[in-house]
Amino acid sequence: MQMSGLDSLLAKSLTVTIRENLGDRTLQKIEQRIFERHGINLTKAVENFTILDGVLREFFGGGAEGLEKQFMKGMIALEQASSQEKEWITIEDSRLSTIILKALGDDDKNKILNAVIGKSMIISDMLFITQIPQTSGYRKVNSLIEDGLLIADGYDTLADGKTVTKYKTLFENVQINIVQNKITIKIQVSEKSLKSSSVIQIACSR
Amino acid sequence: MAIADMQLVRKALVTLTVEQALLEIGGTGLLNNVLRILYEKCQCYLPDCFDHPENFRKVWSELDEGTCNLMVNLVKRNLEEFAYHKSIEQFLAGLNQVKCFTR
Repeated sequence: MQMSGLDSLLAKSLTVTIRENLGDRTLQKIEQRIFERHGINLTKAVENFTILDGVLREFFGGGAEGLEKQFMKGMIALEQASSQEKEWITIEDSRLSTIILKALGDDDKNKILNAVIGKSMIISDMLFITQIPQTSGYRKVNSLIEDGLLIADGYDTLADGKTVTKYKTLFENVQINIVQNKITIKIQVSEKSLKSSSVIQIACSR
Repeated sequence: MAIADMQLVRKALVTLTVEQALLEIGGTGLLNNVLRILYEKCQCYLPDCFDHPENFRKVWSELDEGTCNLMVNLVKRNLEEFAYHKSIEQFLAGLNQVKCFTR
């Protein structure tokens, strides 16, 4: 099962939030149950939120929904879309904000993200267009993929017959606002990314 | 197509880094204290310190030297990788001068 980029972006922070919200004993039982049923750890279960949801329901029944809402509170907020505009996601968690700002603040990563907004490309083409050296370029692309800011979007077949993954930027638009002491970051992602995110579909859409 | 204004990105990044350093060192108490001193003594907000790191001088005068040094060192460490940008380099240099002044 391919993980949504949005879920990769949310997973690390969401795991920390879950650890902070659940007591040690409950957390231990949940982690144990996730491992028994699926053979994975908590972070992987967060990335495939359906798995975590299933285990939480085993423990808390209908109360799982309230818990999931509690986890998402202070993490992200979905803004109702107007008829012509896509939904904006407000990033409320400072760990997530830092991931996004660090990527945008790095010249090379910024060039890569800009090169593949709304159009997917294989990594070697991204590095050719942005004129970033291969060694550091691959490291930066991999870091963006790991953070969920670059998402897989189709394949390309090379002249030697090899199939390689194409990537594009998770968001299509970013807004940064500074008002007094408050920094607000909002992102707009494609309809496809929003729909393929198990976290958004399960925890935010109820 | 540019994703966002780079100067705004750097300002937000620096502000968030300072905020997180303060939270790490002294929790919300220290952060709120610094925000209060900045507003009362310099009539400014934390993001304004990106262009005016000298404003921290008035904050440091009300906090102990250990806290100031910890905060400056933590911010420098976390922003080191972005110091090739002139504006961030200037901010770090300004912060360092304030640190030296408090000694």
